[in-house]
Amino acid sequence: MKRGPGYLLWTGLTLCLFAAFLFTIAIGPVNIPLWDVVHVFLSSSRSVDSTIVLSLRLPVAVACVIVGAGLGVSGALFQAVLRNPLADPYILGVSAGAALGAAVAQAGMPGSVSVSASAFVGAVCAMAIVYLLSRMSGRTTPLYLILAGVAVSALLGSVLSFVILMSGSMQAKIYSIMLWLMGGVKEAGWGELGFLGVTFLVLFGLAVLMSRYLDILSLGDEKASSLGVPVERTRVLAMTIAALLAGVAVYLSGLVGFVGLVVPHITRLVIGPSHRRLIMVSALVGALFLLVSDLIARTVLGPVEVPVGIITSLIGAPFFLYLLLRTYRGYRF
Amino acid sequence: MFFSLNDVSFTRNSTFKMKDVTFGIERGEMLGIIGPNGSGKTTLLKIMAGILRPHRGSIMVNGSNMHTLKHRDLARIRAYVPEGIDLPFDYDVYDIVALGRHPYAGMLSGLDGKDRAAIDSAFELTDTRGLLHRKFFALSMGEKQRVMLAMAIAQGPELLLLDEPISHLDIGHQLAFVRTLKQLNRGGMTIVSALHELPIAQETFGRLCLMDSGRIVRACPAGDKGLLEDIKGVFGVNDERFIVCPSQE
Repeated sequence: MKRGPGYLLWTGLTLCLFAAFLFTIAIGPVNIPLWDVVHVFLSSSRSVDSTIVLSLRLPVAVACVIVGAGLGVSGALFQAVLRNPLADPYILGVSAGAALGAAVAQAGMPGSVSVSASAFVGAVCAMAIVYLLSRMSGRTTPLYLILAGVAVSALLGSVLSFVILMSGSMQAKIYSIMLWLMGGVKEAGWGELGFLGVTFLVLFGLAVLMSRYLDILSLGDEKASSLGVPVERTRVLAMTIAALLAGVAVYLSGLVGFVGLVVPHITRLVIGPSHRRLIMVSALVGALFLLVSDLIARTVLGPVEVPVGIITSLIGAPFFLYLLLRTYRGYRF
Repeated sequence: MFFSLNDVSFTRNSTFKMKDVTFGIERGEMLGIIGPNGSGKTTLLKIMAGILRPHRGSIMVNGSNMHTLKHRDLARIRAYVPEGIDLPFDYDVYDIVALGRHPYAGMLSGLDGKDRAAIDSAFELTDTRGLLHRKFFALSMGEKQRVMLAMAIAQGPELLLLDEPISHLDIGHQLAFVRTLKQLNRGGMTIVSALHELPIAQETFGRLCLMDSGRIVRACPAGDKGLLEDIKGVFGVNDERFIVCPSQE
């Protein structure tokens, strides 16, 4: 039986992604004709255009792809592990941990620690704490994980408020923390991008490899156990992959909302819930979504850049609602 | 003895203890587990399935200790159908049943010819061929229960464990489901099921195991006279119309 999204979807998505990638590079304070963008890639001669393309725009476009795809895949993993289509990469304390990490770096030790790195550490640590807490309660079932996530997020949130308060009269500092929290693709060097890109690819590969295990986990612990899946080990592995993917995204872009929730959900509505396809297509859709959002974020207010997190939520939320209403009309929810 | 529990004890909390449960199941047997709510039927099934680990005692399958078996090897021997089905995502029916082949699949490989044959025969045996192209959420309760059964059958188990498989079905679907179980049993499958429908249990299962507060009160052939008195006592019901099926009189 041949089923699946078919070549049309794959080709269409890949073409869209490619087009969005080129447009992201072409459009900005200085618009570069599309052909010239292509030309820069094909020729080795240096020009003003090639400097803009290669050292300003290309790194941002690549970062967008990594962040979007990473959040999409991370969301798909969390939704499977927590058996909940409304889960997202930030649900288990990742956002609160990242925010606190960033704030501490910004307010506590300005200049000495990288905000991004500190946020990454905060995100992954918060997740680990959530896991260990529910482990201590004896159950790492989805419900307990979510409850622990809520508790840890609230606690870290209050610590964050405290840190912001104690950073005193430094208005600018608070503003920069807030700006960071809203999410925006940061400028990153090629070294960082290369490392994070490879990290993303490895994590993505692992997620695809364990896709059938995710299908089985979503059937529930007992059924999974009955099918011979070591539930606890599988769950920890999936959560680790998802947390690291979220961490990579946080490192590059702060807290970009709604991508990790909306992308896997939309993808699932279109191609069905089987995780092998879901993870691969979510990566494409996530990258596409972030490229387009970033393009809008950089152009909508002229030279002033709007944090991309505002755009993703602004587009994501209504579209999500529309799809929900269309799909679930007639179902009891 | 195909499957046996030896002095199995399990404590969940201060209010529920299962103490020194010992009994065996012969290959090809059809055993019904009955008892009031909270008497330990589900716990016993989960222990038999290897999902809960007893605090004391051992469980033997085919002569080897169940807890020394690999997850995957155990999954080829027994399948467990939990009570109630609550999926978060709307899978195709075929994909759900195909997951039953997981214990035989490699990390990367898709379904091979043998898997497809097993899935086909699972659809055939559970009379679900008509549901092949349907979505799970659109199925009725009776259909969902059959699909979950088909998934368990695709696992190719020697022992099938079911937890209250017919509780949410109407009487017509209950009897049809039970007929399917009997057919599977005739094909050689050992079946253990917890259930609340006492007349159906007595009519269908060769042997019944009556539980109360974590103990096995009596395990005996379905027609046993003493069983009826024990059932009355344990459930606190004297009206035999609700306990015995008329044909047995």
